[in-house]
Formats: sequence, structure tokens, C-alpha cells
Amino acid sequence: MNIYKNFINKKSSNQINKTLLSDDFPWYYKPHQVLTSKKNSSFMSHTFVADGRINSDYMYLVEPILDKLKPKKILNIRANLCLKRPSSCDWHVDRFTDDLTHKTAIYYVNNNNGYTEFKNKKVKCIQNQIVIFDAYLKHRAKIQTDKDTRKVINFNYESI
Amino acid sequence: MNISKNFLTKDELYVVNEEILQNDFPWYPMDNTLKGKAFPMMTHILMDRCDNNETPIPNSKYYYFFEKIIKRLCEKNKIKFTKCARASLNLSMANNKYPFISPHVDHRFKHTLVMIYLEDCSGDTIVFDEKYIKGDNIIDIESPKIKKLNTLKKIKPEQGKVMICDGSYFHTYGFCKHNEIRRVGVFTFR
Repeated sequence: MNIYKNFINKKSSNQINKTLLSDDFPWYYKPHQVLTSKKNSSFMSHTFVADGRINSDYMYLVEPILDKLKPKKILNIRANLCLKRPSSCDWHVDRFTDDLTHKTAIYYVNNNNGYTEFKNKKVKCIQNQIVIFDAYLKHRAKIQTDKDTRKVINFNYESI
Repeated sequence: MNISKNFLTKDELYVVNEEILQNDFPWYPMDNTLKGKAFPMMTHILMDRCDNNETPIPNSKYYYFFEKIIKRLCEKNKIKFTKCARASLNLSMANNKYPFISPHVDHRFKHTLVMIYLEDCSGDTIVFDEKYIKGDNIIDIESPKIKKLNTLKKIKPEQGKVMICDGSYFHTYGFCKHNEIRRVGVFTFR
């Protein structure tokens, strides 16, 4: 697992943060963060890439991140937005390949007291920080209780 | 005030269930800060606010779908619909800090308020017996005035139910339970 602070330049990072909260950036309701979960972990999402296909007019926003990740093949890119409340989702892996040989990266769009929890580590939501890990690593999101929103962008990709 | 259960027709409920409540219906973050207290929510604006008697311009293809329902409701209640002042669909989630948002009225001018409940959920609309006359149109949730407010009516969200009332009554909504979301339509008109 690798964690990088100040992953992209400040201007691009601020542009992502600002655009994701703008009046014309659409979000879609998802009842569960984890498909098999019975626990309520509803959230809002915006899919940039689904099954390798571009699904958003806002693809330009994530390009500075892709330039640094240098993926061989993009599987899925999705922004998640959680409104403030004490909650977490279940442990899960982002299953986009059967053998889980791909990478998952979580890019933190804004500062808040939520975090991503791994079995042996907690990664704080710090603006412009990214955590990159092997897809087989189980993780879960802890929803923030301080800021109104927690925004992250998830990347699932095959690396070079 | 009039509350009508099952006011939406079968065809209208079809649009609600198969389009608006589906996971591909777009929502936008709204900074719903009242008196410094944030009540974050998502919104789908059907018509931008027209506080200064501007010409209303629809912001969503669903505006006319709801306008038709409101006009039918007005006809039933013999209330004149002149001009829309605000139309939006709101999505809210649970909140642990407060039982409801700061009581408020939507506009400082005379208007009618309509609520259209899109789904069954908790988070009642509460209409208080106090009317806005002048000055502040928001009562801070932490203000001592809150305890002096008497509830005139509590309306439980149920799909297809509508409520129409004089918009000068202070009102609020409770937050839904943690395992729910609350999606409602809010409309005001002159």
C-alpha cells in the first residue's frame, strides 16, 4: 500500500473539489456502498468510467490523477459523496477482476474526519492525498461527522 | 391546510417510481445553511427561486410534470395559481444532532406552499401555528423560541400524498431514520 500526499498540483486539486460541489455536477443515489450489504450505507455517486467506458462529461477532472497513476487499463472510476452522519460501510474489496489482480486507488477530494480503514491502517481524508493498494485488500469507509460532505474518487485499474 | 392521500394518479406514480426514484436520476449538493447551522442535503431544482417576481424559467424537464399536479390540486382546493416562486425535489438523510431543521418560511411575500411526498419514509413535515409577519423568516433550531412553537400539524411522508397550505406558517421537517432516505417535492407559488 502506498500513500501519497499532494498527489496532483494544487490548482487541479482545488478544481476537483470545487466542481464536485458545483450546481451543475450531477450525483446519483446509491442505496449501498457494498452490494451485498444489508447495512444502510447509502451515498451519492458519479461514475466517470464504468467497465472501461467513459460515462461522464467531467472526465477532464480526473485526467491529472490518471497522468500520475499511468494505468494500463482503466476498469472503473467513480466519485463518492457522503453527507455528514455517523456511519460506515462493510468491509469489502472492489471486485472488478475475478482474480483481483488490479489496483484500487482512493483519491481524497476534501478534508474531513472520515477515513478509509484497512485491517492494519487508517488513511485519513486529506485533500489531495491518495492511497493505492492491491484490489484484494479489504477496506471500508468511515463516514465523517465534522464536514458536510466527504468526497473521494475511486479508481480501479490494471497497472503497467 | 389540506392534505390529500393518494392524490397522484397511477400514471404519475409510474413516473415517480420508474424515473425520479431510480438510481440514474441526478441530484445536486445543496448548502442548506440556516442561521449558521448546516443541514446538508441534495436537491434537484425544477425551477429556480423567484424571490423578486422574476419570470420563472424551468430548470428541469420534470417541472411541467409537477406543475400539472399542482394545478390540479389548486383546482380541487379552489386556490389560484399565478406564478411559481420555487420548485425543487429534495433528498435528505439522517442527522444525529438535531430532530429537525430550523423552522422557516420559504419567502417573505404571501405565497402558497405545496409538498408532494415521493416515497414512504420517516421525517414528518411539521407545520407550526405561528405565522410569519415580518422580519426574520428563519427560527434558529437552538433558539429558545423553538420551545414556544406549537405544532399545528404533522404530516408523515407517504407516496402520493400532497399537502397545500398558506406558506406564511413556519414549518420544518424531521430527519429520516438511518436506514432511510427522504425524497419530497417542495413548491411555492404566488
